[in-house]
Amino acid sequence: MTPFDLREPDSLEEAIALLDPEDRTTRAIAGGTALMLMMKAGVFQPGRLVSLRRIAGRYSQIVSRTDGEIRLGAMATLTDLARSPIVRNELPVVADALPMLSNVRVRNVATLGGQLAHADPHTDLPPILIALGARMAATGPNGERTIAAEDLVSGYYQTVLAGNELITDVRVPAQGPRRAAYLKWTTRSADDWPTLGVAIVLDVDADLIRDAKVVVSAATDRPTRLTAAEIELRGARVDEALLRRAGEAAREQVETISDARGSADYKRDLVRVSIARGVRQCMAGGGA
Amino acid sequence: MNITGEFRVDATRDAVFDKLADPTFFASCFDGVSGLVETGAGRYDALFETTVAYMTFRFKMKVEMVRLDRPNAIETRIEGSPAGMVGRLSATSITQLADDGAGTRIRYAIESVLAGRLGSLGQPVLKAKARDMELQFVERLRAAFTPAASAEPA
Repeated sequence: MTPFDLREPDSLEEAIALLDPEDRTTRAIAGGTALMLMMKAGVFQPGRLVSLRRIAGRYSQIVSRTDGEIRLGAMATLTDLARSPIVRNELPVVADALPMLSNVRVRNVATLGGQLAHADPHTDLPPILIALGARMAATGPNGERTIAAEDLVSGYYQTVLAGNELITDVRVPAQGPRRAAYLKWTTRSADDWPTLGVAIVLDVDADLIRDAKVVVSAATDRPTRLTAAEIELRGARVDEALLRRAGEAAREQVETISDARGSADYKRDLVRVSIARGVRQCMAGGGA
Repeated sequence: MNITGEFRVDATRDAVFDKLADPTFFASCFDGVSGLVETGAGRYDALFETTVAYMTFRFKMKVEMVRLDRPNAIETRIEGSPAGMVGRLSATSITQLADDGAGTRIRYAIESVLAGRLGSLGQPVLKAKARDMELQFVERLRAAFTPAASAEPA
């Protein structure tokens, strides 16, 4: 391995100052699970890594606010999220997804912020956070701004974050009475990277769907809202005909990618099937 | 992954064919291609480097022109080995030329397969880059048949 510069700042401000938006070989590193894979694969040779280890304590808190918003510190590990009673009680769809999200060794070190900033389309949390209406707080040299979760990823491994901006926390409206489901398809073990992930969040009144959010990931180059399916579901009563229409609408809209996990056509059909299964799962009680 | 497209250039079929069959010109149509070396009749080695986000992908490419049907079609086979990663890129490209008024209509179809670790990591990269490369190819081929602007105003 070619030597590189490793810095371990003691404050967020110092970390931001060490990042260089003009230099693609300078990256922040949190848990390092994804970045190390890229380095081992030979597609990333760092010039400088800015470790966030020393500032993890301050930015890994999980807080339930009185206004109903849950704040997840960006440096919280996936295990921190899985063990949090706040996440279990207020964001059950997130808590249910975590045991399937990679293996325990990865969950113990991988961080929420790192996973989001890495923008690998084959991850489970982004579609769920988008469907729940989450926002990210990002801090750079000019202060803090918030970014809607669905606006964060701009392409394959690309985000709208500047090279010297860091996600500090994720702000998620509590799930409350909304019904939610996350369906994950893998080609190997259940905790493998997904072939397809579909997150559905419904605001329902008995069998009437007042509002719907449907987000697909892994089979696409970025997490994508399936607005055609949402339109079919919104304002409709759940029956088999509706599920068929919504599934077909999703299949028509989604632009999937062929890869080692399956062909684009296969994944489009998985999307169609997932819509009906996900809505049924929501209606069967996937709420808080 | 399959990529297909067509476009028109203001040049005769023979002239377009000669350009496309010229490996040095063809390689110059894409950013990141370097080290082109002829290794046999219609066979070439080259290096290809492309970046996506903060990652850099490097391939050792072997290119073979398997069919030169002047001035109608060119078929090319490409094999690529990524540096530092297990995997293989295999692609076949078929370019067909047809008269279109005083110019030539170029239709191309590229079928590519990525195997190994490259298959899961590289396929979206290839898709992300394919459109950029198509645009470069069209722009540079058209430019090759466009008279250079005069250096001095008339």
